[in-house]
Amino acid sequence: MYALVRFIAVIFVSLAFLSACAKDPDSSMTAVDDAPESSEASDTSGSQDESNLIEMELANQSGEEVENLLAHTAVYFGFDEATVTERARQIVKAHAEALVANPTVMLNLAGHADERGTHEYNLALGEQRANAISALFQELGVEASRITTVSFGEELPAVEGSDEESWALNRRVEIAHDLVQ
Amino acid sequence: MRKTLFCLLTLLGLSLNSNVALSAITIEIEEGVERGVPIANVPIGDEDKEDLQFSVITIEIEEGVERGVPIAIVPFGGEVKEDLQFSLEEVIRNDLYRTGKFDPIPIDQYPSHPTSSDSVVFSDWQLIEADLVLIGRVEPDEAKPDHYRIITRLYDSFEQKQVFGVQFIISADKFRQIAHRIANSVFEKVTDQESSFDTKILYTTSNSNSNGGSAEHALYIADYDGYNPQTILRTERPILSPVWSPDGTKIAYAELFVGYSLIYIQEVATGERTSIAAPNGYNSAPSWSPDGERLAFSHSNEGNFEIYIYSIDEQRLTQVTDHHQIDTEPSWRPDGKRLVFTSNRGITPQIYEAPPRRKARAKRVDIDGRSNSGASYSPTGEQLVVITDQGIGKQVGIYDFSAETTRVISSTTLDDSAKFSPHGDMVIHVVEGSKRYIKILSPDGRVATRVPVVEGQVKQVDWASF
Repeated sequence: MYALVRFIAVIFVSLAFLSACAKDPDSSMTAVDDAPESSEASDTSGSQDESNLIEMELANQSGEEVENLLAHTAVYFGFDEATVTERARQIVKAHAEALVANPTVMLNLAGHADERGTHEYNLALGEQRANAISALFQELGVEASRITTVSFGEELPAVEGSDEESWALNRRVEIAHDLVQ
Repeated sequence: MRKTLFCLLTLLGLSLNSNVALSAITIEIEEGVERGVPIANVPIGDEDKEDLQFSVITIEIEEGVERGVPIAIVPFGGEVKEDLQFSLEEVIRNDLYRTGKFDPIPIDQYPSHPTSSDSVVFSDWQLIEADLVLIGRVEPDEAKPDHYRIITRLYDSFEQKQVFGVQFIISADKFRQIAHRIANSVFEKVTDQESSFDTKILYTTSNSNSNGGSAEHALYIADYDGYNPQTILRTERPILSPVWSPDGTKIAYAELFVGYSLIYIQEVATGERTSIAAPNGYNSAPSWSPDGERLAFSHSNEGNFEIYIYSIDEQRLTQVTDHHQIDTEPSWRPDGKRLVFTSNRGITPQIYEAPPRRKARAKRVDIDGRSNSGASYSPTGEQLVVITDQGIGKQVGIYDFSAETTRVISSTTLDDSAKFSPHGDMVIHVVEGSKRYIKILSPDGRVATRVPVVEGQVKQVDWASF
């Protein structure tokens, strides 16, 4: 089980690597959506693939990869959840490293929810998501005094639409600071 | 089991009512039958008119649910010089139909169109099984210029007698209101309860936009059926949680700014508004105490929503909940002794109940479903209407405290903002999605009708409690 989880995580990283300069949330989500399929396909192909992926994982330690992750200015959440996913953790880590290296830069985190559920609960959920990401930034060395969090609940969707794909893109925290545009 | 219980309850409920029309109440089990009754067009612009063709969506007849009382509502005789764009009988028919307690018979089945008592032939109406027959006519009033005399009578065709006869002298601009009152008289005679036909709703809309554009948000008051809409507020910021004060003279709502939100109390008559003296951060989900003197609301500063009570005159705050997870959406029980609210302290959002005092102990309300939110009480306090997730989406459910049962009453799966009508005869809610709209459900879920809105995408709705 652990191997599979780790494997999926590796897939996330490697797909992000392959998708290179993905700037819009759309392409980052495509990468996430693709991941479970890839892992299923790998079940039969055994350990050889896995060792290749470990090599890719090592390659991901390079500075080049950090640049790619910085291109992602939103992290996404599961339905009704404020739990930080492994994918979100990696993106936050890249931003945190950049922010630690630039100690005067301020960080704003805007939490959002999809349209499902009540407006009031979603306002609170947006805040809880922004706080979860804020806590991670602090854990990674960004001082609380540099971070502001806001919630927009379900009031400012990233995309209009009432399907799983749109909802997935709207359940997000947007990461904003001067090191990214 | 549920089916049997429901039938028994329905029978019991009806047998407590007046003796009118009891003779022909039958239990008929129908599966998948869909019927619709046309609703009047609203003079609100061409784009919306097309939409209104669907104003009555479907009747979703659950297995074992009984039908309403069959009633014939005969077109009213006489003419008016004003262009009304609706007819009295349409308004009355739609009112009665929405409660699920009446099944209006389609006009094309009527044996005749009587407008006065001497032309009602009971045996003809018995043939089409019309328990009740409502007739009426409109005549110019000789005494008052621009006024009309509306004479209406309700008959029980099997008892072969008049149930009531009333007359109104009124100007044409009051016709809708009079139609609601006539419908209320019929409703009262049959159910022994008051209807909510002559009450108001409050709703918010926004111009659909994605990031970047400047959206316009608006707050409207309208008749319960969507007519006579009035703009109460326009702003560039999202408006959340609109609620009426118990006496209907004020409304409260939250306005969302970047990084904080404020709760406003606004006078309906003057438009004058003041924000309540709450701390910095997010303030949302106001709910008036039944005496109108306090507002329960949800407040978060630096990270966690808790329930507070604000005494309006004293401007004093009391913190009700203290938990590291979300607590929001408080709503008062009609006796003022409890609040329900939504919390995710048990991982998924669920409904909790607590007395309205400092550091109150909260107890989970055992509603079925993977999540529940947005609860508010029925007028008697015996039930809750909630947004419930039973695995297929967000739906409107009714939880009964004594029976400890949860019943889903909507067929849509993106429901939000559900409230009982002030007399508990209907439930209103918003359907989210690409085309948002307001829906009224009969409390048994059998009848679902659409409420026309003025413009934009509707977001939230509240039903006046007066």
